Amino acid sequence: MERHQHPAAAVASKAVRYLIVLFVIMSLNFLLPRLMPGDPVLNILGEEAFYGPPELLQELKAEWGLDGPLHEQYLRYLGNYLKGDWGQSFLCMRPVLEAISLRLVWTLVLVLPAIVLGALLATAAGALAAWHRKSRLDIGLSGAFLSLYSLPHYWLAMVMLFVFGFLLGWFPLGKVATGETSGLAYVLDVAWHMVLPVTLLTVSKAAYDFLVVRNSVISILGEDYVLMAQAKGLSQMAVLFKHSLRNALAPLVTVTAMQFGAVLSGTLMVEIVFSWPGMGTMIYEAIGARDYPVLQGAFFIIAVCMLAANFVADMVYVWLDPRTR
Amino acid sequence: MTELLTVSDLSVVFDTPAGRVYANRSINLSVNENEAVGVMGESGCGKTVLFLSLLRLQQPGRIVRGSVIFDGHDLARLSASQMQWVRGRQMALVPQDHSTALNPAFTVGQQLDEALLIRDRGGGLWRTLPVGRWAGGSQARREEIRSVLDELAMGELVDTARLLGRYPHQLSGGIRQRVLIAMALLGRPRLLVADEPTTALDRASRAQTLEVLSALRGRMAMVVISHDLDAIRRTCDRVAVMYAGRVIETGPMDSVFGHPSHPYTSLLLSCQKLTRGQRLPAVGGDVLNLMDFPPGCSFHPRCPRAMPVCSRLEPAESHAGSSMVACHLYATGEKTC
Amino acid sequence: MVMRNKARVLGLAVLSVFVLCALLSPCIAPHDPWEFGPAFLRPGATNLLGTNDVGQDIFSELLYGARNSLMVGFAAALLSVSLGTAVGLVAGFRKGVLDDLLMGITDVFLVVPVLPLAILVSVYLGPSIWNLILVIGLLWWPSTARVIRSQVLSIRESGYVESARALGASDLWLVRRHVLPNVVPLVMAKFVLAVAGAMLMDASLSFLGLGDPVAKSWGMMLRYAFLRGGFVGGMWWWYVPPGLAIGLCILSLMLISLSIEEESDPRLKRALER
Repeated sequence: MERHQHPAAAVASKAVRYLIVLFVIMSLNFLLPRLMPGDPVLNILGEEAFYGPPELLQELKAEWGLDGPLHEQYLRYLGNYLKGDWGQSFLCMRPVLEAISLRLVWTLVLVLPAIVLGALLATAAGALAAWHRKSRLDIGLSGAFLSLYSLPHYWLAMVMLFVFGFLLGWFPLGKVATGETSGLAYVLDVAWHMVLPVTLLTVSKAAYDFLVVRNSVISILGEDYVLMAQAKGLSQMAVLFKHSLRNALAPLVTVTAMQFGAVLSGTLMVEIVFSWPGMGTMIYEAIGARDYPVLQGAFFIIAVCMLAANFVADMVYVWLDPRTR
Repeated sequence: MTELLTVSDLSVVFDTPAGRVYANRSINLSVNENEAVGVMGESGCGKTVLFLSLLRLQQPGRIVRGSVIFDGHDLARLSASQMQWVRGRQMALVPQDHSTALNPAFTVGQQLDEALLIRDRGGGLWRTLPVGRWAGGSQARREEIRSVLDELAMGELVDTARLLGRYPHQLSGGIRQRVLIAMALLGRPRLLVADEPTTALDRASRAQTLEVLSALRGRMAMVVISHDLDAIRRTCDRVAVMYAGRVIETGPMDSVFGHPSHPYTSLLLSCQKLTRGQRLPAVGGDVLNLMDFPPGCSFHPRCPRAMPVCSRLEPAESHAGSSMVACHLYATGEKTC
Repeated sequence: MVMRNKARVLGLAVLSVFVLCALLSPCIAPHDPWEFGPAFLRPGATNLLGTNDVGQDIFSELLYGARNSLMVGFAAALLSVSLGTAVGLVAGFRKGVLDDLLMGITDVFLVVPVLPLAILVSVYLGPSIWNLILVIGLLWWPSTARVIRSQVLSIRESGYVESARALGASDLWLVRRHVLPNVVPLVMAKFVLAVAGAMLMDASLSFLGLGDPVAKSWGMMLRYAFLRGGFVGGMWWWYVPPGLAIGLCILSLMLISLSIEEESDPRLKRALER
């Protein structure tokens, strides 16, 4: 925190910044089909419409204002976007927003538990590793997490699924649920299917956070107030988990927010391996079909999620660190 | 007077990549019940290291020789969990730097309350939560904290109720220093160690802090580490002077300050009574390298009264009047000068 | 301290092995990885890791894949770090409107989700190696720019630069003489990290089918293993080696980068030595 602003002003300026980013992304989505190779009309309306009956083409062109001047198109586009009309998916002929929303929910079902559990795991492990710095525990944990960070997520997913699903048969081989169930049985079934992907995502997220927490706690452990806490007669655990961690939380929150995008991206890839009906599999199909509207819509929605996460993290940071108030 | 703390032949070393640092060598020191002992010496002589080592907080330094008998137990031999019991409740530390000794994330009230919880329930993680809002502390504990703060005359300076809800960075240095003293007192320790209590303060706060310490004099055993001679004079009954990791002179405050025996002590004290236009007395030579000692007495290269024997033999402790001195000048038990 | 050097040596050693594989692959590969043959063979004498769905030797694919994966990683990292350093230097050195503008752009890019954008642009541009390098390089520069800028700012405000400037030193001279030498270690650390990041992103994009379908890269191998029945068929010898290869390269890069970082960050160093 460089300047001491009034908290409300800080919130407002952050919000403005994020809104600007959203605006830039919307504009980017407008420009891309027009700047990229290929006929913009083809890019925007899709092959079916492009090579279809001319009347349909005219109608769609008029609806999207594609025959007018550029600035008019832009305004119409912005208007449509804000109304929630993001175009039609080429693949399933449904409005993009509708197609994405349900998928987004399933993705978040994986992402949110993973973020929370990952942060907890990383915090506990990082704090312990920092306390017993340079010991075998530390080197072991550091090595393990570093290796986990280096391996591609989707590859780990393949291996995990192979070992635990295929070889050992403990977990199902994909999708959200097997068979037709409802109510509690359905929830439990989904939970069972969630175990492998969430575990993988948790451990992958924890891998990076661990390094951050460890470094953060190491520098905190050098602080005088930690020595003072020990001098008061607090136990090792109390000094570590009460005093040190409390001060390491704020940087962790920042990192978690910055990482949200990475976690989300990792989830996309992992979903493909687990045949999980989330945004990942949707994007995968869209790539194959060159379904630009879906891809652009997905990009936008993910950006919104990331910005929301950043915003929440900024708020939490201020709450956690009394010095910023 | 019964001896509360007896340090015998204590040596503390640090093993660094550059070599072994002898921070304390053959320290002999004792503190009686309800007595205030001052520990004086220039920066780097090992004063703070000594007391942090007694509490076994001086990592990576370690005790390699000697014993620390506190109330019948040898602190140098206790386990980590036993030491945890000693810290805060038997021996409490008031640290030097008030700006960094308090956790910035917790309020003053929470940290004071924590000291009480440690005293009553032990220092375990679950026992010393709640970390929550200050209002979570019990009525009885809040009363006790208020009474200690009042005792330290804090009520005159600030509204104690509001003080408890403040964060350390919102307070001035003088207030923080007294909060640290209060925190140490709440543990009801047998021995209070104040490390440079006046060094980081301005004049007004310094005067107030000295008042507080003087008021405690006689009511509990105290050690005041300082290079502020005036602070020691006003708060202590006995004085120990350290140089290069050794205690070179100990004795009643009046004797040491009035008739210093060791040449180093004389030079140290001569800085006090300066008159306008007088040359600043300085000790010649360089500061000692704690890894590489000259043979014999470690002060001899800078000593104005060095004798040939000083460069060969390290002086043992001998009597000089009512003081103990480690100097060859008194080796036969008489003053020779 | 010894730990640091051990880590760096280990990292460099492992990385060199892969670089050697990449450079010498035509000589050491037992088969031409583009040559078709009997498909889905298990590991054996002729094919150390078996064959894929069109009968190409997996081991040879692995060796040739090193070229592609490493090259994309290094090239993209070079592009992004050069761009990022240039932006960081300019923004840090010439404060004011230019700085604000550049940092504004950087901030926007930092918050944008990189993988989805990379996917989007790659789909438009079509699958090819150069597109991959371009996309990854152009999307990665912001983090380098930010870090370089802070470093430049702190150097700029330091005493010796002020005095040099007071003596009449020109901006260019100052940059060359004072700023650059202090910025270089940071750039090195960032570069190594960028290679790691680029390789991971390349693996992801190739897996999604956005890389050159004919070229041999580890990401592509994983894609085909997944798509063409290697995964469901339980043929772990097909997809485990490329993943391990990626992981080992990235791990060694991380070790190298961490050792550079530990050396150059004084705060961390002090805390670690306590």
